[in-house]
Amino acid sequence: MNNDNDIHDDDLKGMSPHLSKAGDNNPFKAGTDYFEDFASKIKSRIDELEEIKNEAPVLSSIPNYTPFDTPAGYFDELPTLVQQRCIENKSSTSILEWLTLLIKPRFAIPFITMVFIAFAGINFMNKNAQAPNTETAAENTFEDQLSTIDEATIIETLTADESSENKSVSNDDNSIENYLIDNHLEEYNLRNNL
Amino acid sequence: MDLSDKELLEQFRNEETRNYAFNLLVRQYQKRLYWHIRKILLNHDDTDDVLQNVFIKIWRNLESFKAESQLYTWMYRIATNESINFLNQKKKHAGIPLDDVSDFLANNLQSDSYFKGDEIQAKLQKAILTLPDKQRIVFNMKYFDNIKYEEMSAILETSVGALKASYHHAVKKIENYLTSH
Repeated sequence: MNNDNDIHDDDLKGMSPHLSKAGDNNPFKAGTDYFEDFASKIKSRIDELEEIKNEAPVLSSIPNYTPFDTPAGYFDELPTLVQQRCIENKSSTSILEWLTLLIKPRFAIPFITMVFIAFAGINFMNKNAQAPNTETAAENTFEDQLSTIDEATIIETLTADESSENKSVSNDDNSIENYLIDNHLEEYNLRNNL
Repeated sequence: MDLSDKELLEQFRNEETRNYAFNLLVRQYQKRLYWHIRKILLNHDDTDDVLQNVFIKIWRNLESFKAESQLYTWMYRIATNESINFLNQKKKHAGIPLDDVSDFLANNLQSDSYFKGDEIQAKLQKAILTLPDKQRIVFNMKYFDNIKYEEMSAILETSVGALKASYHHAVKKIENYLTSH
Protein backbone atom coordinates (compact mmCIF):
# COMPACT_ATOMS: atom_id res chain seq x y z
CA MET A 1 0.00 0.00 0.00
CA ASN A 2 2.75 2.42 0.99
CA ASN A 3 4.57 1.43 -2.12
CA ASP A 4 1.54 2.34 -4.25
CA ASN A 5 1.32 5.71 -2.52
CA ASP A 6 4.98 6.42 -3.15
CA ILE A 7 4.56 5.64 -6.83
CA HIS A 8 1.49 7.90 -6.94
CA ASP A 9 3.42 10.72 -5.18
CA ASP A 10 6.26 10.38 -7.63
CA ASP A 11 3.84 10.58 -10.56
CA LEU A 12 2.19 13.68 -9.05
CA LYS A 13 5.57 15.33 -8.49
CA GLY A 14 6.36 14.78 -12.12
CA MET A 15 3.01 16.02 -13.36
CA SER A 16 2.43 18.94 -10.95
CA PRO A 17 5.17 19.81 -8.45
CA HIS A 18 2.96 22.54 -6.84
CA LEU A 19 0.00 20.22 -6.33
CA SER A 20 2.21 17.51 -4.81
CA LYS A 21 3.46 20.03 -2.22
CA ALA A 22 -0.10 20.92 -1.17
CA GLY A 23 -0.52 17.53 0.52
CA ASP A 24 -3.67 15.46 0.70
CA ASN A 25 -5.23 16.94 3.86
CA ASN A 26 -8.98 17.62 3.55
CA PRO A 27 -9.42 21.42 3.87
CA PHE A 28 -13.19 21.15 4.51
CA LYS A 29 -14.73 20.92 7.94
CA ALA A 30 -18.20 20.02 9.20
CA GLY A 31 -19.70 20.99 12.55
CA THR A 32 -18.23 19.06 15.51
CA ASP A 33 -21.40 17.04 16.18
CA TYR A 34 -22.69 17.02 12.59
CA PHE A 35 -22.08 13.31 11.94
CA GLU A 36 -23.27 12.31 15.41
CA ASP A 37 -26.70 13.88 14.80
CA PHE A 38 -26.91 13.05 11.12
CA ALA A 39 -28.54 9.61 11.40
CA SER A 40 -31.16 10.80 13.89
CA LYS A 41 -31.93 13.82 11.68
CA ILE A 42 -32.57 11.59 8.67
CA LYS A 43 -34.68 9.23 10.77
CA SER A 44 -36.90 12.00 12.13
CA ARG A 45 -37.32 13.44 8.61
CA ILE A 46 -38.42 10.03 7.29
CA ASP A 47 -40.84 9.66 10.22
CA GLU A 48 -42.37 13.05 9.47
CA LEU A 49 -42.81 12.19 5.79
CA GLU A 50 -44.39 8.84 6.72
CA GLU A 51 -46.71 10.61 9.14
CA ILE A 52 -47.85 13.06 6.47
CA LYS A 53 -48.28 10.21 3.99
CA ASN A 54 -50.62 8.47 6.43
CA GLU A 55 -52.39 11.59 7.65
CA ALA A 56 -52.65 13.41 4.33
CA PRO A 57 -52.18 11.14 1.31
CA VAL A 58 -53.43 13.76 -1.21
CA LEU A 59 -51.11 16.45 0.14
CA SER A 60 -48.10 14.15 0.12
CA SER A 61 -48.78 13.22 -3.51
CA ILE A 62 -48.27 16.84 -4.61
CA PRO A 63 -44.63 17.65 -5.48
CA ASN A 64 -43.10 19.70 -2.68
CA TYR A 65 -41.60 22.84 -4.22
CA THR A 66 -42.21 26.57 -4.05
CA PRO A 67 -44.19 27.52 -7.17
CA PHE A 68 -43.11 31.15 -7.25
CA ASP A 69 -40.59 32.98 -9.37
CA THR A 70 -38.84 36.35 -9.25
CA PRO A 71 -38.02 38.90 -11.98
CA ALA A 72 -34.70 38.23 -13.73
CA GLY A 73 -31.70 39.64 -11.85
CA TYR A 74 -33.82 40.61 -8.83
CA PHE A 75 -31.39 39.27 -6.23
CA ASP A 76 -28.39 40.88 -8.00
CA GLU A 77 -29.94 44.35 -7.81
CA LEU A 78 -31.57 44.12 -4.39
CA PRO A 79 -28.45 44.70 -2.20
CA THR A 80 -27.64 47.99 -3.98
CA LEU A 81 -31.26 49.10 -3.85
CA VAL A 82 -31.53 48.31 -0.14
CA GLN A 83 -28.24 50.09 0.58
CA GLN A 84 -29.45 53.24 -1.21
CA ARG A 85 -32.72 53.23 0.71
CA CYS A 86 -30.88 52.76 4.00
CA ILE A 87 -28.65 55.78 3.31
CA GLU A 88 -31.66 57.90 2.31
CA ASN A 89 -33.52 56.76 5.38
CA LYS A 90 -30.59 57.44 7.68
CA SER A 91 -30.53 61.13 6.75
CA SER A 92 -34.22 61.65 7.32
CA THR A 93 -34.89 60.34 10.81
CA SER A 94 -38.13 62.10 11.65
CA ILE A 95 -39.19 63.77 14.90
CA LEU A 96 -41.97 61.22 15.14
CA GLU A 97 -39.41 58.43 15.37
CA TRP A 98 -37.70 60.25 18.25
CA LEU A 99 -41.03 60.59 19.99
CA THR A 100 -41.85 56.93 19.46
CA LEU A 101 -38.45 56.08 20.94
CA LEU A 102 -39.50 57.92 24.10
CA ILE A 103 -42.43 55.56 24.51
CA LYS A 104 -40.08 52.59 24.87
CA PRO A 105 -39.28 51.97 28.57
CA ARG A 106 -35.50 51.77 28.01
CA PHE A 107 -35.55 55.35 26.71
CA ALA A 108 -38.55 56.63 28.66
CA ILE A 109 -37.19 55.77 32.13
CA PRO A 110 -33.84 57.63 31.73
CA PHE A 111 -35.67 60.53 30.03
CA ILE A 112 -38.21 60.87 32.86
CA THR A 113 -35.40 60.58 35.43
CA MET A 114 -33.46 63.35 33.65
CA VAL A 115 -36.53 65.59 33.49
CA PHE A 116 -37.22 64.94 37.19
CA ILE A 117 -33.61 65.74 38.16
CA ALA A 118 -33.64 68.90 36.03
CA PHE A 119 -36.97 70.01 37.57
CA ALA A 120 -35.75 69.31 41.10
CA GLY A 121 -32.50 71.21 40.36
CA ILE A 122 -34.33 74.26 39.01
CA ASN A 123 -36.69 74.21 42.00
CA PHE A 124 -33.74 74.03 44.41
CA MET A 125 -31.92 76.90 42.68
CA ASN A 126 -35.06 79.05 42.73
CA LYS A 127 -35.50 78.50 46.47
CA ASN A 128 -31.86 79.46 47.11
CA ALA A 129 -32.18 82.54 44.97
CA GLN A 130 -35.29 83.64 46.89
CA ALA A 131 -33.79 83.25 50.43
CA PRO A 132 -31.53 86.41 50.54
CA ASN A 133 -34.36 88.53 49.28
CA THR A 134 -36.46 88.20 52.43
CA GLU A 135 -35.48 91.75 53.51
CA THR A 136 -36.50 93.29 50.23
CA ALA A 137 -39.70 91.34 50.45
CA ALA A 138 -40.32 92.82 53.90
CA GLU A 139 -39.55 96.30 52.56
CA ASN A 140 -41.91 95.74 49.74
CA THR A 141 -44.71 94.75 52.10
CA PHE A 142 -43.98 97.86 54.33
CA GLU A 143 -44.19 100.10 51.27
CA ASP A 144 -47.38 98.36 50.27
CA GLN A 145 -48.84 99.05 53.71
CA LEU A 146 -47.77 102.73 53.55
CA SER A 147 -49.43 103.16 50.20
CA THR A 148 -52.74 102.12 51.76
CA ILE A 149 -52.53 104.84 54.50
CA ASP A 150 -53.83 108.30 53.73
CA GLU A 151 -51.08 110.96 53.24
CA ALA A 152 -52.74 113.47 55.62
CA THR A 153 -52.74 110.91 58.40
CA ILE A 154 -49.03 110.33 57.95
CA ILE A 155 -48.23 114.10 58.08
CA GLU A 156 -50.40 114.53 61.17
CA THR A 157 -48.63 111.66 62.93
CA LEU A 158 -45.19 112.99 62.06
CA THR A 159 -45.95 116.62 63.22
CA ALA A 160 -47.48 115.33 66.46
CA ASP A 161 -44.25 113.48 67.16
CA GLU A 162 -42.15 116.63 66.49
CA SER A 163 -44.24 118.88 68.83
CA SER A 164 -44.03 116.36 71.66
CA GLU A 165 -40.23 116.31 71.29
CA ASN A 166 -40.15 120.18 71.35
CA LYS A 167 -42.34 120.19 74.44
CA SER A 168 -39.96 117.97 76.34
CA VAL A 169 -36.99 120.19 75.34
CA SER A 170 -38.77 123.43 76.46
CA ASN A 171 -39.75 121.75 79.76
CA ASP A 172 -36.07 121.10 80.49
CA ASP A 173 -35.15 124.79 79.84
CA ASN A 174 -37.87 126.05 82.19
CA SER A 175 -36.72 123.87 85.09
CA ILE A 176 -33.14 125.16 84.80
CA GLU A 177 -34.37 128.76 84.77
CA ASN A 178 -36.51 128.16 87.87
CA TYR A 179 -33.56 126.57 89.63
CA LEU A 180 -31.37 129.62 88.93
CA ILE A 181 -34.03 132.03 90.18
CA ASP A 182 -34.72 129.99 93.27
CA ASN A 183 -31.05 129.90 94.22
CA HIS A 184 -30.44 133.62 93.42
CA LEU A 185 -27.81 132.84 90.85
CA GLU A 186 -27.20 135.54 88.29
CA GLU A 187 -25.64 135.23 84.91
CA TYR A 188 -22.70 137.51 85.86
CA ASN A 189 -21.83 135.42 88.97
CA LEU A 190 -22.10 132.21 87.14
CA ARG A 191 -19.71 133.35 84.42
CA ASN A 192 -17.18 134.50 87.04
CA ASN A 193 -17.40 131.23 88.93
CA LEU A 194 -17.02 129.23 85.78
CA MET B 1 -17.41 35.29 0.53
CA ASP B 2 -19.76 34.35 3.36
CA LEU B 3 -18.85 35.72 6.77
CA SER B 4 -20.06 34.30 10.07
CA ASP B 5 -22.74 36.30 11.88
CA LYS B 6 -20.19 37.33 14.50
CA GLU B 7 -17.79 38.64 11.85
CA LEU B 8 -20.63 40.46 10.09
CA LEU B 9 -21.67 42.14 13.32
CA GLU B 10 -18.11 43.17 14.15
CA GLN B 11 -17.65 44.69 10.72
CA PHE B 12 -21.04 46.41 10.90
CA ARG B 13 -20.16 48.05 14.23
CA ASN B 14 -17.04 49.52 12.65
CA GLU B 15 -18.00 52.77 10.87
CA GLU B 16 -15.45 52.18 8.08
CA THR B 17 -16.67 48.70 7.14
CA ARG B 18 -20.37 49.20 7.95
CA ASN B 19 -21.67 49.55 4.39
CA TYR B 20 -19.57 46.63 3.17
CA ALA B 21 -20.77 44.39 6.02
CA PHE B 22 -24.40 45.31 5.46
CA ASN B 23 -24.10 44.63 1.75
CA LEU B 24 -22.71 41.17 2.58
CA LEU B 25 -25.49 40.57 5.08
CA VAL B 26 -28.16 41.43 2.49
CA ARG B 27 -26.50 39.12 -0.04
CA GLN B 28 -26.28 36.32 2.51
CA TYR B 29 -29.86 36.47 3.77
CA GLN B 30 -31.92 38.06 0.98
CA LYS B 31 -33.11 34.80 -0.60
CA ARG B 32 -34.11 33.10 2.64
CA LEU B 33 -36.01 36.15 3.87
CA TYR B 34 -37.54 36.78 0.44
CA TRP B 35 -39.01 33.27 0.19
CA HIS B 36 -40.24 33.39 3.77
CA ILE B 37 -42.11 36.65 3.09
CA ARG B 38 -43.25 35.58 -0.35
CA LYS B 39 -44.98 32.50 1.04
CA ILE B 40 -46.92 34.74 3.41
CA LEU B 41 -47.83 37.49 0.92
CA LEU B 42 -47.72 35.43 -2.32
CA ASN B 43 -47.33 38.47 -4.58
CA HIS B 44 -43.83 39.53 -5.70
CA ASP B 45 -44.40 43.30 -5.58
CA ASP B 46 -45.75 43.19 -2.03
CA THR B 47 -42.90 40.90 -1.02
CA ASP B 48 -40.35 43.30 -2.51
CA ASP B 49 -41.84 46.24 -0.56
CA VAL B 50 -41.85 44.34 2.72
CA LEU B 51 -38.39 42.84 2.21
CA GLN B 52 -36.86 46.29 1.63
CA ASN B 53 -38.57 47.58 4.78
CA VAL B 54 -37.29 44.56 6.69
CA PHE B 55 -33.70 45.28 5.66
CA ILE B 56 -34.08 48.97 6.55
CA LYS B 57 -35.33 47.91 9.99
CA ILE B 58 -32.39 45.53 10.31
CA TRP B 59 -29.99 48.35 9.31
CA ARG B 60 -31.46 50.64 11.96
CA ASN B 61 -31.41 48.09 14.76
CA LEU B 62 -28.41 45.89 13.97
CA GLU B 63 -25.99 47.98 15.98
CA SER B 64 -28.03 47.47 19.14
CA PHE B 65 -28.62 43.77 18.38
CA LYS B 66 -27.53 41.79 21.43
CA ALA B 67 -26.53 38.30 20.41
CA GLU B 68 -29.08 36.78 22.81
CA SER B 69 -30.66 35.03 19.84
CA GLN B 70 -29.12 34.01 16.52
CA LEU B 71 -28.94 36.71 13.88
CA TYR B 72 -31.06 34.85 11.32
CA THR B 73 -33.70 34.04 13.99
CA TRP B 74 -33.92 37.75 14.80
CA MET B 75 -34.17 38.69 11.11
CA TYR B 76 -36.84 36.03 10.46
CA ARG B 77 -38.83 37.43 13.38
CA ILE B 78 -38.68 40.94 11.90
CA ALA B 79 -39.69 39.57 8.48
CA THR B 80 -42.63 37.62 9.96
CA ASN B 81 -43.91 40.59 11.97
CA GLU B 82 -43.54 43.01 9.06
CA SER B 83 -45.42 40.62 6.77
CA ILE B 84 -48.29 40.17 9.23
CA ASN B 85 -48.46 43.94 9.79
CA PHE B 86 -48.50 44.51 6.04
CA LEU B 87 -51.36 42.02 5.61
CA ASN B 88 -53.35 43.61 8.43
CA GLN B 89 -52.86 47.09 6.95
CA LYS B 90 -54.00 45.89 3.52
CA LYS B 91 -57.02 44.19 5.01
CA LYS B 92 -57.90 47.28 7.04
CA HIS B 93 -57.51 49.48 3.97
CA ALA B 94 -59.71 47.20 1.87
CA GLY B 95 -62.27 46.82 4.67
CA ILE B 96 -61.73 43.06 4.94
CA PRO B 97 -62.23 41.44 8.37
CA LEU B 98 -58.84 40.63 9.94
CA ASP B 99 -59.61 36.91 10.15
CA ASP B 100 -60.77 36.60 6.55
CA VAL B 101 -57.74 36.96 4.35
CA SER B 102 -58.12 34.05 1.95
CA ASP B 103 -60.06 35.88 -0.81
CA PHE B 104 -57.72 38.85 -0.69
CA LEU B 105 -54.62 36.61 -0.94
CA ALA B 106 -56.20 34.38 -3.60
CA ASN B 107 -56.58 37.52 -5.73
CA ASN B 108 -52.98 38.35 -4.89
CA LEU B 109 -51.93 34.93 -6.13
CA GLN B 110 -53.94 35.16 -9.37
CA SER B 111 -52.67 38.65 -10.17
CA ASP B 112 -49.05 37.64 -9.65
CA SER B 113 -47.23 37.19 -12.94
CA TYR B 114 -44.41 35.32 -11.20
CA PHE B 115 -46.46 32.30 -10.17
CA LYS B 116 -45.05 29.35 -12.09
CA GLY B 117 -47.04 26.51 -10.53
CA ASP B 118 -49.53 24.26 -12.32
CA GLU B 119 -53.19 23.74 -11.45
CA ILE B 120 -52.44 21.38 -8.56
CA GLN B 121 -49.95 23.83 -7.07
CA ALA B 122 -52.50 26.62 -7.35
CA LYS B 123 -55.03 24.41 -5.57
CA LEU B 124 -52.51 23.65 -2.82
CA GLN B 125 -51.81 27.37 -2.37
CA LYS B 126 -55.54 28.07 -2.11
CA ALA B 127 -55.85 25.30 0.48
CA ILE B 128 -53.00 26.87 2.47
CA LEU B 129 -54.81 30.21 2.28
CA THR B 130 -57.76 28.80 4.21
CA LEU B 131 -55.51 28.58 7.30
CA PRO B 132 -55.26 31.39 9.87
CA ASP B 133 -52.16 33.59 9.35
CA LYS B 134 -50.01 32.07 12.07
CA GLN B 135 -50.94 28.48 11.21
CA ARG B 136 -50.15 29.23 7.58
CA ILE B 137 -46.71 30.51 8.53
CA VAL B 138 -46.04 27.42 10.65
CA PHE B 139 -47.13 25.12 7.82
CA ASN B 140 -44.96 26.92 5.23
CA MET B 141 -41.90 26.92 7.47
CA LYS B 142 -42.23 23.23 8.25
CA TYR B 143 -43.57 21.78 5.01
CA PHE B 144 -41.60 23.78 2.43
CA ASP B 145 -38.53 25.00 4.33
CA ASN B 146 -38.21 22.09 6.79
CA ILE B 147 -37.21 24.45 9.63
CA LYS B 148 -36.78 22.71 12.98
CA TYR B 149 -39.48 23.24 15.58
CA GLU B 150 -36.87 24.61 18.01
CA GLU B 151 -35.82 27.29 15.50
CA MET B 152 -39.45 28.07 14.67
CA SER B 153 -40.11 28.42 18.37
CA ALA B 154 -37.39 31.08 18.65
CA ILE B 155 -38.67 32.93 15.56
CA LEU B 156 -42.38 32.85 16.32
CA GLU B 157 -41.98 32.98 20.12
CA THR B 158 -44.31 30.01 20.54
CA SER B 159 -43.70 26.73 22.37
CA VAL B 160 -42.55 23.66 20.41
CA GLY B 161 -45.64 21.74 21.57
CA ALA B 162 -47.99 24.45 20.30
CA LEU B 163 -46.15 24.55 16.96
CA LYS B 164 -46.40 20.78 16.51
CA ALA B 165 -50.12 20.86 17.26
CA SER B 166 -50.57 23.82 14.90
CA TYR B 167 -48.74 21.99 12.08
CA HIS B 168 -50.82 18.83 12.47
CA HIS B 169 -54.07 20.83 12.46
CA ALA B 170 -52.88 22.62 9.33
CA VAL B 171 -52.06 19.34 7.55
CA LYS B 172 -55.52 17.96 8.35
CA LYS B 173 -57.30 21.12 7.16
CA ILE B 174 -55.36 21.17 3.91
CA GLU B 175 -56.04 17.49 3.29
CA ASN B 176 -59.75 18.09 3.86
CA TYR B 177 -59.73 21.02 1.43
CA LEU B 178 -57.86 19.04 -1.23
CA THR B 179 -60.20 16.04 -1.00
CA SER B 180 -63.38 18.15 -1.00
CA HIS B 181 -62.48 20.55 -3.86
